[in-house]
Amino acid sequence: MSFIEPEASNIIRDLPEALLIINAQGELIYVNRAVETLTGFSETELIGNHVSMLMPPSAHRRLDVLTWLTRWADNPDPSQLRYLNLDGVNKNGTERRYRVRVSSFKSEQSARFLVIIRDVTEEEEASRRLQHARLVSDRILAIGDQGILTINESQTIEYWNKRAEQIFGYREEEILGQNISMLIPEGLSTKHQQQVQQFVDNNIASRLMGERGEIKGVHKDGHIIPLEASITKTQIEDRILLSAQVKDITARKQAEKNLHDSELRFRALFENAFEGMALLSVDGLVIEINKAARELLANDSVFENKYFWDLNWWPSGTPEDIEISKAQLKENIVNVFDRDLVRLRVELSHHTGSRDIDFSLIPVIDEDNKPLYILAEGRDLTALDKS
Amino acid sequence: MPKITYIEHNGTQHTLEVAEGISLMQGAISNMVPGIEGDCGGLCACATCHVYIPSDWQSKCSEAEELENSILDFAYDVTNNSRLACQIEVTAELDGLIVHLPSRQY
Repeated sequence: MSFIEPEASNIIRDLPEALLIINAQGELIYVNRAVETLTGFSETELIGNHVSMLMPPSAHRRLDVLTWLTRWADNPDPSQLRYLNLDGVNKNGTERRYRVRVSSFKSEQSARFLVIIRDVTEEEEASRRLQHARLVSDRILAIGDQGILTINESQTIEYWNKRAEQIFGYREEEILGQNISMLIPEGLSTKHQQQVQQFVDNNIASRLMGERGEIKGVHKDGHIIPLEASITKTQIEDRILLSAQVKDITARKQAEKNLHDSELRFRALFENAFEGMALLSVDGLVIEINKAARELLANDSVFENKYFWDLNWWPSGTPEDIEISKAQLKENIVNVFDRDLVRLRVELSHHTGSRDIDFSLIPVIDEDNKPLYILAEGRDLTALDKS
Repeated sequence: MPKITYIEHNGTQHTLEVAEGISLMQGAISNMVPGIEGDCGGLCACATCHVYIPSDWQSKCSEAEELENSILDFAYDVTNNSRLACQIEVTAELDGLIVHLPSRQY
C-alpha cells in the first residue's frame, strides 16, 4: 500500500481482522493476511478481481455487494447494520455469512472503500438454533393444558401462554406488564403477595401441585376460579423470575360435587327404603347393606366383607335348621348368574318372631355381560299377611 | 378482533385473531408462527419479517416508506408483493387478510 507508511502497512497486513480495500468499480486492490485466512484465497488470486468473488450476487436478493458498500460507506455503523449480514463464499465453495463494515476514503482523487469482514456463520447459526429451539418450546408451552405464567421480583407478569388466556380471560397484550394481583381475588391479594415473597426468600427451588392446597384466582369477568399451581424459581444474574403452571380445577370440582350429590341421593334412597337391600360381590360377600336389612339382623354388628349366608338371619333356629337354610341361601347366591333372578318366599326365625319375607336375588351385569354385583332384596310381608 | 391467516412456505396455515394496533410481525411472533423472525424487534432494520401481501390487500395496508423498501433489498426472494410485517399495523380493515411467508428470512 503505497499510500500508507511502511510501518502502518505492516500493522494492517497482520491485523487479526480481515481488511480489504476496493476501488469504486469494486475491484480488490488490497487484502491483508486475515482475508486470506478467512476466504482461503491467496492475495494474488484476489487482487484485481471483483469483490463479488467473495460476496457473490444471488438470484434471490435484489442487492449486490457493491451497492451495499456504496450505501453504507458514509454511515459505517448505523443501527441497521447490527442485523444485516451478507452472503459470502470461500475458495472451496462453502457458503458463509459475513458481517461487513465499510468506510470510504479518497486516494489519488479516486474513491476507495475500506472494508472489514467478519465471518459470523457459526454465530448466526447458533442464534437461529436457539431461536428455533425457543419456538418449539414456546409452541409446546402454548398448547399445554395448563396455564403458564412468569412474574418477576416485583410480581409483574412477564410471560403468559394461551391456556392462561383461556383460564383468566386476559390476552397476552392486556396482561404483560401488569401485577399478578390482578389475578388474585380481592382480600387474598396481600396474603398472596406475602406467600410469593416467602417463596422468593426461601431456598426451595420448586413447589409442586399437591404440595399446597387449592388456590383461588379471579377471571377478567370477576368470577372466582379454583386452581392448583406449581411454582419454580429461576435466578438469572440478579433477577429472580417465578414461573407457575396453573391448572383450572373448576371441572374437576364440579365432577366431584356431582359425584358427591349423586352418592347422597342414592344413599338416601338405599338407606330409607322399606325393603331390606344388600349389594353383594359376585361371590356373595356383603359390600353394602341398608338399614331395613340390618334391622332383620339385630344380633350382628359387622356386615361388610362377610358372606351373605353367614349373617345371622336365623337367630332362633336350631343348629340343624340354620345349616340347611344357610346351604340353600348359598346355593342360590353362587348360582344366581345362571338363573337371571331368584325369587322366594322365606320364613326367617327372627328374635321378634317368625318373619315372612319376599326374598329376591338379582344378578347385576355390566354392558359386556360381565357379572358385577348381586342385589339381595327382602320385603317383610308379615304385617301385610296379618292384615 | 381481525382474523389473519399466516401461511408458512410449506403451506401450514395459522389463522389467528390479532389485536388491532399491533403490527403483523408482533401478531405472528406472539402467536409463535414459524418463519417470521423479527430480529430487530420491529425497528425496520433487519428484513427478517419479510412477508408477501396479496395484491388485492395491499391498498388496505399502510404504504411502505423509503426505509422499508431499502431494507427489503436485503430480504430473500423479494417480489412486488413483499412487505416487512413490522411496518404493517393491524386494523379492522385487515380482517380476513392472508399473509404468505417466504422460504427463509436471512
